[in-house]
Amino acid sequence: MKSDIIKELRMGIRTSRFLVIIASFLFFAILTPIMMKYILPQLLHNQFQGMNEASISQMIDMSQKGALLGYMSDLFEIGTIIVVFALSGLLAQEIKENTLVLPICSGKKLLSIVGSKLLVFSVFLILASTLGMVISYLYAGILFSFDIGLWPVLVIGLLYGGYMIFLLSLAMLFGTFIKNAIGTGFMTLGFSLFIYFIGSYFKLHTYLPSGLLIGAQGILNNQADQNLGITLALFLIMVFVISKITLIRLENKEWNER
Amino acid sequence: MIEVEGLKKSFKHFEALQGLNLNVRQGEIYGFIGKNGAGKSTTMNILAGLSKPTSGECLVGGIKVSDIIQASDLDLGYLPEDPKFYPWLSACETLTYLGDSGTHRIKPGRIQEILEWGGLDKDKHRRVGTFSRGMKQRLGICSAILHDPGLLILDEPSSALDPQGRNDVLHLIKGLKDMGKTVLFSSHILNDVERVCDRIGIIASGRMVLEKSLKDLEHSHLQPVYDVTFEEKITEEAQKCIKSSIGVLSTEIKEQVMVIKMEDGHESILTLMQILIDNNLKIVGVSRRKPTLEDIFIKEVHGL
Ligand SMILES: Nc1ncnc2c1ncn2[C@@H]1O[C@H](COP(=O)(O)OP(=O)(O)OP(=O)(O)O)[C@@H](O)[C@H]1O
Ligand SMILES: [Mg+2]
Repeated sequence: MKSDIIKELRMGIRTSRFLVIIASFLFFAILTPIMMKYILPQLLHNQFQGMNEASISQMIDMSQKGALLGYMSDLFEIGTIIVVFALSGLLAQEIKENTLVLPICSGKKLLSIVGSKLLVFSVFLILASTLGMVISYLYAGILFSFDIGLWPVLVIGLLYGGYMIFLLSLAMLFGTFIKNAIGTGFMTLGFSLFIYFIGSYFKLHTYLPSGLLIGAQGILNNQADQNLGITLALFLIMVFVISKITLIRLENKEWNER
Repeated sequence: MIEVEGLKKSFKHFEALQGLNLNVRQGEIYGFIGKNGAGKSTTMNILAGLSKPTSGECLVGGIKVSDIIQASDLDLGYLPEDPKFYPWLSACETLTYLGDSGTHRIKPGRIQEILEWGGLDKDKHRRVGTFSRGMKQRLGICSAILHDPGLLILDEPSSALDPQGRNDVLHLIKGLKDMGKTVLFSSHILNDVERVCDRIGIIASGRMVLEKSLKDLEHSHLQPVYDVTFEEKITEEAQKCIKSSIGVLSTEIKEQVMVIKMEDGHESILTLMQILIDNNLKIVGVSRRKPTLEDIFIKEVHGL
């Protein structure tokens, strides 16, 4: 297990996957508050000449909370796409390029291979998401004012990280069906959007991983969601089940095929 | 060590193996030869426990391949036809990674030993992504023997190597035999096979067409042709005498050497000697033509 974890860490570092994800999170974390404070008001001002400061600030929530909400929606709209495409090849590419053949012949356990991927990238996503959230919090606090505590922000970071872990487990599962990383990425994104749509349309977010995002917004708006515990438990079960199916699919796979 | 009976493997509508039989004995070097697409790699992949047979029995070291849970349940080292590595790991890191797995753990110093043997010592800290095909092939062989298995299945181990490398690999294969290991390897370089193998199997269109020890094979494929070297220039008269002797099919003269082809049933050397003595001819040497593996191979798979 240890050597598998080291291998995944090296992979994350040397293929720049860690870098791409961290850089994109930080990019939005820093850009969103700036957008809100300077660029957006300027744009509105130029577009609608007569508009005064007061009505502009009515349109945009010029506060630390507003900036954080903006960052969270950026993360959901673009951040997830970057995460999915950075990680969609995690299994798909290994299967396609037959790089698992030698490890399997050398006695590596599939459980350890899949488990290490899940572990390393889950921890990374949690850290990256929390870091992004804290940076955004600090930056927005400096630009506007500090009117939220750090604690809820950390929780939000965890919840967003959790949602990305769900995407990660999906990408690994789909990778066992589609040998192509890009195809796996699109399938993962499509499926996660489908889940989000179902959650919104049937008001089922509580029972779906998308509930983590809704719960995070709730925390920021001081509307603590009583059902967040259920959402979290179901999310963990879902990641476990998805990973188990991934493992079973790999165990029944024939290797070194053309 | 390996017993295969009636092995079949189909890919969608294509039957790659059509009831293959194969037998590798403990401690021997077995050469597996056949044309491109004959089914060598398919067979070896099944024997390594990586893919499942459609039907047929496969025993590897006494274990049924259809019963194993994972490939590493079989005590063997496998070199795939085209070994794939993580390009972002160095040779040393790759072997360290492959060497550490719950079931078999290697002793310290083993990696250095293997790298030196494989001639990769000075490149051990370079990323595998920058390696040439031959270097990857060497690394593949290194990883196959890393765990010191009792059986080695090597799919074209010498294909991408330079002459020195090929020589090294053949040397190693021989060395493995001395250590009591069993080796099954495929190759297109019949000269290599001839040099190290105890037995060979020729596969054609998914069936074993011939499986014999190299000695028996040479014997059974010996041609009834002798090269006889004479002391002096051969006279036309002498040639006529030999040609008209019982058992001689044809003769041909190349300077001092006469190529004598015998009739079926008269191919023994005694018959020839008798003819030479009867004609009172002084000779320097007689040798019977040995078939090369290439001759045998071409003859056996001809038209298949
Ligand atoms: N996954 C696959 N799907 C379809 N056909 C396949 C597959 N794998 C192998 N084959 C077919 O099975 C046959 C045997 O292939 P195999 O790779 O075993 O040949 P080989 O003897 O190793 O050839 P070579 O000497 O070129 O390596 C070929 O006709 C090949 O096209
Ligand atoms: Mg082959």
